[in-house]
Amino acid sequence: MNTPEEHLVYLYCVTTEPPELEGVGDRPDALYAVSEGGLHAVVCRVEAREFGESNLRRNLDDLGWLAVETTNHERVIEAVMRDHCVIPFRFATLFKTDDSLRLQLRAHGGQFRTLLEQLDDKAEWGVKAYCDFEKLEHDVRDEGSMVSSLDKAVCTASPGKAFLLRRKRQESAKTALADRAARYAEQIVETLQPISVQARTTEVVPQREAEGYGEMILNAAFLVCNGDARAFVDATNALGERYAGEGIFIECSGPWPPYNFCDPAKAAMDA
Amino acid sequence: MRSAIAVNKDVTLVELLDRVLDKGVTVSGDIVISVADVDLIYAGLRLLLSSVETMERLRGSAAEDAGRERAL
Repeated sequence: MNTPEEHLVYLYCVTTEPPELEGVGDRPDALYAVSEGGLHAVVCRVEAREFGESNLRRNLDDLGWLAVETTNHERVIEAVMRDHCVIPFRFATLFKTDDSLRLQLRAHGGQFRTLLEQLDDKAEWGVKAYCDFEKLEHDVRDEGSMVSSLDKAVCTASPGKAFLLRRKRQESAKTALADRAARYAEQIVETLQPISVQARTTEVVPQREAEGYGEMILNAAFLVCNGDARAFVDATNALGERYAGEGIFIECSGPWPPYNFCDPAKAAMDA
Repeated sequence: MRSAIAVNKDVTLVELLDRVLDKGVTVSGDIVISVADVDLIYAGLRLLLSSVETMERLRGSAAEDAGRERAL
């Protein structure tokens, strides 16, 4: 176990060229590189008091601390990413010493180098879509679908039957809406995929509901060649304009470090 | 090397956490915090962040830090 005086080594990212680190990062200790076999790991010495296992757990509950530290994590990686291709590591990836990190670099060097070649001159772009389900529900009903024919049947049915029909109506409305939202999500991915090298959809985040954007229906990440970035952003903007009247709101963010496209290295680590 | 285009850089804390906590490479071996721990913390955080009250609090304080335009 770590005593409070001890230090840990915090790993941000790995790159193939020695990065310029002066003035990068907001932490008290300066960044430095741990190099091994042609790979350079960008690290910072942190106190175990702050990042040791039990203390880290407590700090993670503090949203203020978390906001500052995750922002720093991202800024450091983005600064390195400006001039170099990087493998971004997860927040709070910590080693006991430089030597233990070196061991990992030696053990996984091959995978890291292959991945860095694949990621070269590319960045991750995030695309999220939100659905205003009230607006969509209105449109679905106007289409003379099964839902609206059930609506008519409810009016003329006996009370008992009307109850059952109403329930059926609610069910079909829900399914129709979910289908429709899923179709929008598919269309967005299908449109953007050809402009990207790789596409990935991940779990939706309960994020914007409170802000009036509607419910998130798509949380996608695309690996895009830097030369295609403009075309990619233009395409998301065009999609946004096309769907705006239908209650679909599209948001594009980037360029991000390729957090979602490091699977080969991840798989090697887990093995 | 990277593209000069940056879109929507005033990301929310949730957007940042979605990448920084949930994705990215982790190594096993001589590493201090285990993957499972981060996963659990993240799952808890997701629930927390879905409440409106938390969103309000975030927007007030953390969003300012995390959401500040990054000069890149």
